[in-house]
Amino acid sequence: MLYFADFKTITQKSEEYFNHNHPRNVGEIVKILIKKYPQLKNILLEAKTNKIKDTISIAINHSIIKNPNPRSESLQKDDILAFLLPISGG
Amino acid sequence: MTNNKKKGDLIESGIYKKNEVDFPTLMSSLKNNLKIRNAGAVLSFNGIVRETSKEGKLVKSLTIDAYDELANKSINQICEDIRKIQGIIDIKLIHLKGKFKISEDLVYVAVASAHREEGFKALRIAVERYKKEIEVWKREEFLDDSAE
Repeated sequence: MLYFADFKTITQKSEEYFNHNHPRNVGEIVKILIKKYPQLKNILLEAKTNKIKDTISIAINHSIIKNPNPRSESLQKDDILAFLLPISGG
Repeated sequence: MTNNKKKGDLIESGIYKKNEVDFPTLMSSLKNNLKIRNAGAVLSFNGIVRETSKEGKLVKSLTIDAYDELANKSINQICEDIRKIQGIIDIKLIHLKGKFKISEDLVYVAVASAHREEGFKALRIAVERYKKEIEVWKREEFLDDSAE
């Protein structure tokens, strides 16, 4: 995982490795993250539906994925994943 | 250890750490392009830290975070598109990352064009695009010690 902006603020990390029993898809990573960092729930998920917010972009191996059901996006060993908030530059 | 660029260095567009590049160095790099001889104008934009947020809160400092791999791709795409505009000779687009005080530089955009008309337009397009397309995030720290 790569962490940016509020993700970095909450996790206090810029990156993290999940080596054992690697998550098979984005949905599994979401569960792991929210269990470890409960504050991420409000940032990542819609309150009522628990769907990943539409405003969150998901990057795998430095490319934004376009999947209407992002939780189902599969992950391979050594994949690099990042959840991205809406852009706000200088 | 920083790798601060100096005049004469080739500066590619992209994400740089604060203080790694300054505006004179960027302009020097732009003019080192041999094609600059075809330019009659160089237009520039410099984004800096404003002392108030959009909501009017007083800002103490501003932190820029960037996903370098994605942001550099996006910046390069913007520059590639701008260079295709007729009359545009070259463009440099730099976004800095790090922690910044009021009025410090955040962004440099410089466009070299054959004539000023297309240069002004291209500069505007580049600025509006980087605001929407490059993977950077700002966090404002306010005088009341809150942040967002």
